[in-house]
Amino acid sequence: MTDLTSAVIGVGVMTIITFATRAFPFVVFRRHKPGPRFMRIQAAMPALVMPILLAYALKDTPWTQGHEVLRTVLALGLVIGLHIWKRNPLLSIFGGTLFFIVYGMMV
Amino acid sequence: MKEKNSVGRSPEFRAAFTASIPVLLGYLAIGMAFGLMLNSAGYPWWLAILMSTFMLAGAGQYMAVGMFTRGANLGELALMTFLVNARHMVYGISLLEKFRGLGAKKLYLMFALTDETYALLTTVRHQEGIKRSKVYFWIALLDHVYWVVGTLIGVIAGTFLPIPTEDLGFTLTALFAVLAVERWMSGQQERTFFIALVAIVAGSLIAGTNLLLPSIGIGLALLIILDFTKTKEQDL
Repeated sequence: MTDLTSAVIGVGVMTIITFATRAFPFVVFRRHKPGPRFMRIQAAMPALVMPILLAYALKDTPWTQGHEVLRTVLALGLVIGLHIWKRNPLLSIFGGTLFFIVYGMMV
Repeated sequence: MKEKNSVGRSPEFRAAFTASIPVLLGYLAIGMAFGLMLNSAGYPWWLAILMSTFMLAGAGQYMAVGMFTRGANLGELALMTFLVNARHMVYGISLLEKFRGLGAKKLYLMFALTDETYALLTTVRHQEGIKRSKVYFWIALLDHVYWVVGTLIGVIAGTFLPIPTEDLGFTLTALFAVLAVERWMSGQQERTFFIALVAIVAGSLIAGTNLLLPSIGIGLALLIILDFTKTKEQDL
């Protein structure tokens, strides 16, 4: 199976899952609204999941190579700093990525 | 006297378009960035269009590019998509009443429910003599079109601006960092962040780099346990 074929299959799966999350409340809560405990846990989910996803995204970093670690830490710091400063996701993601790429090319 | 209006001049369309202008700019920009990224990752232009048409998920699509670049398997892709999109599961709760009895349009509205569309739908003001359901539909459709058009522009621009593929994986890290910072700055979630930290450490001790599922499981369990103990104290 080619890279492209698996990507297309992946898109199919992602489409279904994305739609499922959007349709979920309309199906499940059709009759009864969710209870307060569910709502509290739901409200906390993003704050729980995002740091974990971040840790997961960092797993491929070669932590034994000092210069790679520095590169990642600096770029990540830039992303976080930019975002706290301007709250603009586009700026933060692209600023940090640009730094990451240029650093890799120059250092 | 009843005038025959073309679609472009119907009051519902105009109301929807006016409301959607901020999203127009945002989606063109982020859609462009996505098209650019996927193109630079070596995928054909039609894949970007396909993704933006059928997934219509900014964070999810960005994440997908990062994962394609890293050679993630289907299971990882599915899990990550679910996690990144899980927040959608509560959007519908506040729209249950608004969408009641809308028929076929409801299906499309459910499908096209992005963060921004959700925000517009919950804040758009009602006007006299205008069919709400049509306004909702146009808002969702316009946002969808903006997203796909932005992607198209990005894909075209991508042919002139190549980016080294491996480095693109960093955009995934950056995306999650941005989402985490957003959450943190929205406030009141310090305790949950601490729980996440504990879960990450525990998860990595158990499963090393495959910490995703164990960490989330541990974190969720901690959240639930803490919620039970908190409410139990209140009962006493």
